[in-house]
Amino acid sequence: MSASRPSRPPDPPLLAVRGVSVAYGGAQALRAVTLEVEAGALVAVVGATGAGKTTLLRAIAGLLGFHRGRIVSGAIELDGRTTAADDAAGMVRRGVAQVLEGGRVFPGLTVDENLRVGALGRHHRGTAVAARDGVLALFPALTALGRTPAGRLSGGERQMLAIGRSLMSSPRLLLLDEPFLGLAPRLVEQLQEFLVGMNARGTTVVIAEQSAEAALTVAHRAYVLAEGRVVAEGPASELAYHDLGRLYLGAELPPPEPPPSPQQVPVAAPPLLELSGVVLRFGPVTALDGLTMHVAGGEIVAVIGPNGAGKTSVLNCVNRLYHPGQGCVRVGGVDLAGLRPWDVAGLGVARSFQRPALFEQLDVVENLLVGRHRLMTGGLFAGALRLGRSRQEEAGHRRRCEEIVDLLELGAYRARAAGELPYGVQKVVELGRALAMEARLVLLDEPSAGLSAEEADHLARCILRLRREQGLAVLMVEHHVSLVARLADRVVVLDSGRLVADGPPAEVLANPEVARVYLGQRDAPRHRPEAAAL
Amino acid sequence: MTKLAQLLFSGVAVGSLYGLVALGFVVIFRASRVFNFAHGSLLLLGAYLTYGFHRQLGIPFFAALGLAALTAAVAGLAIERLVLRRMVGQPVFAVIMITIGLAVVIDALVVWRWGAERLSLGDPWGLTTFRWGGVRVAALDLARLVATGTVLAAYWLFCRFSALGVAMRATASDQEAAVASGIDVRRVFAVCWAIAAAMATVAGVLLASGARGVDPMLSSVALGAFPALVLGGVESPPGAVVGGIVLGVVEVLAAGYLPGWLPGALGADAHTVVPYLVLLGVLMVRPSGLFGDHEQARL
Repeated sequence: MSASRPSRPPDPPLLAVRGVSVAYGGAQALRAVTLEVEAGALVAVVGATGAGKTTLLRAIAGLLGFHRGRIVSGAIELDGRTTAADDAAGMVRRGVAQVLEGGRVFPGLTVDENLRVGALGRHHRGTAVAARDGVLALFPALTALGRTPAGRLSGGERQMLAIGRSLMSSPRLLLLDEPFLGLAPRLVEQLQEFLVGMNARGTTVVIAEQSAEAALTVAHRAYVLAEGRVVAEGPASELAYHDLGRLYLGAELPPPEPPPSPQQVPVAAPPLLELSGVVLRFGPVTALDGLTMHVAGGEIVAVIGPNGAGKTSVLNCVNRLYHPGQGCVRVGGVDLAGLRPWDVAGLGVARSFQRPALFEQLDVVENLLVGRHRLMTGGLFAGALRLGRSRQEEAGHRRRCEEIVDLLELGAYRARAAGELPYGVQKVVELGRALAMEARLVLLDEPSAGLSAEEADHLARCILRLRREQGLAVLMVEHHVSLVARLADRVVVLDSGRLVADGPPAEVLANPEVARVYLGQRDAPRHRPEAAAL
Repeated sequence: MTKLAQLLFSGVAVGSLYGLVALGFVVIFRASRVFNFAHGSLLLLGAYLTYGFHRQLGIPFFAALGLAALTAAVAGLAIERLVLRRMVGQPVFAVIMITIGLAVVIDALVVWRWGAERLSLGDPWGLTTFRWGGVRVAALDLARLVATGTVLAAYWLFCRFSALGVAMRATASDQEAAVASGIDVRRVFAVCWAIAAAMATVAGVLLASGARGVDPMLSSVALGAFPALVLGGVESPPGAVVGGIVLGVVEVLAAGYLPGWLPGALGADAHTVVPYLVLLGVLMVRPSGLFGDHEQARL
């Protein structure tokens, strides 16, 4: 049958991503990702935070350069033609528009002006008016708000305006980054209906979304990303939620470490850190809702959970950047209420941030010495004049810092300025500084973010060694579940500021409730007040 | 009472000029985060270009001013295109050093072309004054007010209604979202430099007209507008103008009312210190300036 027709090459798909790897500096974010989007399709790209969804959209929309990322290998084609030479403005002219995460409107511009900006890249005055009428027909609610500054809109209105602004360039392909994040269920439904309607009228749509439930309901086809790779793909209806949960949480978990011997982690160790009934509110938003958890001395605890679960808020409550409204936080039995952040450091709590905060001009040993500042007893004059006792004291501090350098395998970088070091090494130096403070507990905020596999491995080895040899306790927020499974003694899962699970990694990661909060299924019985009434 | 009115009037006139200088900084900083230390030199260049067109080529004053603003704008475009664009993504410190280097080059070019002597601009208002209900009004001050008002109105209309102006505001508000909307932000930066250079020309001419005249010291006057910039908040155009006016009024009032013995004790220029004291006071209460909207983290 086909042989009787003149052979004609099939039409290329609207969008083809072929084996694309992306790196930001040295950190790899996408690894040989391949996917195709036919014209008229509605495709979902789902995966946990840090899986590479945003990077994939940036690569397609030509926005990588803005974030100092680049395509290391592979190619992206639109209509069968490469997009390598097109920047973001070029992609808009070729009919690709991206809606950035979080309803990013221009708050100081009015709604009308926001829409106008969306048309600047592709339209002249005449066609822009038609585009605007089209957008207002889709979002009638925006019509009455034309002269309102966008900063005064509600969250749902902002998301509408952000999408409307992207539609002003009359795109053939619309990319949406986490469009459902933070929207109330009713708004999620509205947005779903809208996307389906728009798709039916001919716009091809790609949704990158953590909340698989919301995205898969509307998508025809879905790709699952994990740690920068496509780990599953297929018709959206066939991706079973059970498998998805397993994929989100790391497909191949390494076997859990043998349980530590009793000498290393005394079973009855009194908790070093204790949170009991902690409530933290920002205006109407409840970030932590009666959270109770603890970290024992020498224990490694990981906090995981979907976006907005309150993970970083836990760390911020411990080092007093946030002040909880109710409940109490204790370190070594001392109530932190009324203490300032530097007092908490005095209790032996150190903190690392997502981006290493080192003194860039100082070398590694000097950075560690800064960590010992609070331990130095010599006065200003004694130090400045290098009097005998002060010199001895400094020699002692330097000796300790050199020990830490050896412990963390930093010898090769000892005398180099911290600012010049590879990103992964900077993270290890930050860990070393916590040790130099003689901290008993270190708070790590996404320690593996932006690290290559080898760097993450080095960091993991260092964390385990510090616990084994120095008895350091660790409380970390981390997205890479495979790393969590390898490091943590206990995993605490949060959702909307509440504790969902607390236990050994293998047990917690197998818990169906945990998979459910990651996938955004909000139909669990506990959310149904009428069920309780029966 | 007359004295107060007198001082207020000249304070507002001088202050609006400070505001105009500060606005030039703000236009560039808001869009591209470049702190332009060459702004004072653009001001110098604009004033000398006006001198050249008017006194040397005999073009009528206002036409000469327009031509000078246009020429300076082209120079601003060229600076952005040839120098600053290569510095995108480089450390802030390096970019600042580049703008300082530009200032040195422009100053040197001006001295090479026009010499270092003080020259009279030959402006139409000169030293004329007239009385207005008991208050003596210098025509120069009036010209300063009218010109600043005109430039501000034009800038506001441009930002509000033109496509480029809206693109400029979008870029200042959220650069990534602007890029994602298909705005060519490099073009926006270039336009900002052109606008700042044209504003600097007007400010330079208003500073140099009247009794002062043009000389190479004019570029350092831009530094005098620095407190206005900080006072208003480096990212706010209205803040720059209000900051400038507050600064001018405070300075003139201080000069007029400081008790006679105080300058003796602190030196003859004691009144020039007062604006900095006001600045210090404001920054202690509002670290981002009067119109700054970034809440600083305070521990």
